[in-house]
Amino acid sequence: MKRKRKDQRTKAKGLRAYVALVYAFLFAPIVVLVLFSFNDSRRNAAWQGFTTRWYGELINDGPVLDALANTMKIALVATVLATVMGALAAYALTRYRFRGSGLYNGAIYVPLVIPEIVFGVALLSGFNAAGVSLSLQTLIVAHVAFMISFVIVIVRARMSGFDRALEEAAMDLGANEFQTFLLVTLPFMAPGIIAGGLLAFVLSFDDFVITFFNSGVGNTTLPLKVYSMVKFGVTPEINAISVFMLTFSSLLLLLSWRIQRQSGKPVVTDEE
Amino acid sequence: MSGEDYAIRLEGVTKLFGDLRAVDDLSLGIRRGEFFSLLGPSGCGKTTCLRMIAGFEEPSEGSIYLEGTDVARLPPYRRNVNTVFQNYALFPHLNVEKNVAFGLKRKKLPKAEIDKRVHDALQMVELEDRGKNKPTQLSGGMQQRVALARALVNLPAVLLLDEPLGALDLKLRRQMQLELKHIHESVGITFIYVTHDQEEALTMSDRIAVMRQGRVEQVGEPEELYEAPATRFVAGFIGVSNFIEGRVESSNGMGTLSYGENQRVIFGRPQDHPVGDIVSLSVRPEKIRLLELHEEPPEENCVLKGIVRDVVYLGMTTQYKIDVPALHSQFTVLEQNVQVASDKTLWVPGEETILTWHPYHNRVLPEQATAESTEEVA
Repeated sequence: MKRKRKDQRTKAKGLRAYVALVYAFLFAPIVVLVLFSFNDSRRNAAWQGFTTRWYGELINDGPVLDALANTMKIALVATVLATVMGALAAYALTRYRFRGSGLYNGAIYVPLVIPEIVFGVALLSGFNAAGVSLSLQTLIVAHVAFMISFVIVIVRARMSGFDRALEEAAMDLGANEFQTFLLVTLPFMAPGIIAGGLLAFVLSFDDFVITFFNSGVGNTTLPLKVYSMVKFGVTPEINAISVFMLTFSSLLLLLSWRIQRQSGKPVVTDEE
Repeated sequence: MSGEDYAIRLEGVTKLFGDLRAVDDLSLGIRRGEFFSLLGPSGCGKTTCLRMIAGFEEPSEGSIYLEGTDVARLPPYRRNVNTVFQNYALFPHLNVEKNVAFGLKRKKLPKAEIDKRVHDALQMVELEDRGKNKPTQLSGGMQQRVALARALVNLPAVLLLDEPLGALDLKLRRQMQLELKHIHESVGITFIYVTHDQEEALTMSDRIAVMRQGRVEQVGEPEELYEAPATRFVAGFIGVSNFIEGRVESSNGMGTLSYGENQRVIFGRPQDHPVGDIVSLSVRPEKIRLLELHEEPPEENCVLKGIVRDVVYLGMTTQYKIDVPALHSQFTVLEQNVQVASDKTLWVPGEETILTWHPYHNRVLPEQATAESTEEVA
């Protein structure tokens, strides 16, 4: 009995060490990255002392700010488009059976699993074939194209728990089809839509591959900017940009996750 | 029979789902202010019927008159009816007050009036202090009452209730049955109540339509359905019935089925069933008395011999299952437990007995092609 317990204890210890190693492997590079963004040295070699100088330089770096502005523009517009289109598509897919709806439901996953580089090249050749020159607009279209599936998947998951009797109840109480959608269906979908939108925003915000193929001239986004800067060596300023992106993305993802998790419980979207 | 006497009148209503005739050429009038139940086993079309009145389904054929106007093709939001749903269907993102106010807001009533009517409705269902709660914070019984208030606050011409008590436990059910009945009497609105529970229908309704396979078997008051079932199905579905089939042998003013040595079943209205005809009768378990073999049953009574098989003591009553060899069937007999200490108390399995009852209690049923078992105790 006693020996067995001891065995288990050593086993648990071993497991704990293993888990610690895995996490170290995952997070050590990120920790180093964050630390060196505060390093008082041009090179990412040795710790010279604490400074926030690189963040200061970042704020005054015109090209980086331009890239950030581009990124935000694309992400915001593409998110709005992808969220609206995705939410409506998810509504249609869960609410109606139509010819080929099964196929559509399955096809949603294709953009999620297709290699990003294939997706990027496909979009590029699509734009070329259509004779459209690359611009901020094409970039937005490209982003919408890959974001929309994520939105649909998340909103559809939310809609699967929807009781159609709620819509009947609304109509029974005098709401027409549009009012029913606006007052009953949409509030129910809201957590899924918000979560899907946030995730889509994050995906657009740090997308590299698809953006790389479809950006054309002068539409550098932040990830592209970082890539071009790295070619001249990794400076602490790049670390600082990375930390900024990391923090921003993590916060949005955390928010998205929390909203999704909450939507499992009774929804609270009432004004109160 | 002018349409204006009815709150709802269905005329030749048929609903097809693919090849399935969910409702089959149904005509029915529901009187103003009535508590009317649609009763039947699952799949009999009662809920489809209700959904067509509400406007959630469109009839394939036929008309539905609401206070004299055909509404069969109008959307739900253009009909002056409201529904209490089986699973309540309360809006989860709105609190109780806003759920109840939903219908009034769609009618764009002034805010003061909405507030007052919502308050009154919540008071009626005794939930005036729960207005700010979310539906999920309430118990099943409370949610049920919110659903009722949300529908009734609109003062519809007809209130539709789709098995509204199905999800509640027995005790709460009983209590809500009484409350519903009470509310019905105080608001004076026509209630149409869908249920598969015959006891519930009998307790609450002014009139009941017993449905089966998309058709109405019989419409009547509870007592009428129980005492004078029109079909074998109704006799078996409402309460318990014993069925007797036989060839009419003599007809001295009454029809008689005889089974040799002092066993006979006598019934009225022989003119419909001449000698030689096959007739089908039903008799209720509580109408039958059990006698000892040496006792002499009254001359005019029906008499059959039986062997006690099963004895279930139920407190107020005792239920016996008794084999009747003459009919090759088993009878259910219910006796009041009125014995005094000196009396014979209960029959025991294996004992021989005489079953006897007055011919008045026999119901002559129309012959049915399919002789299916309809013994059902809901």
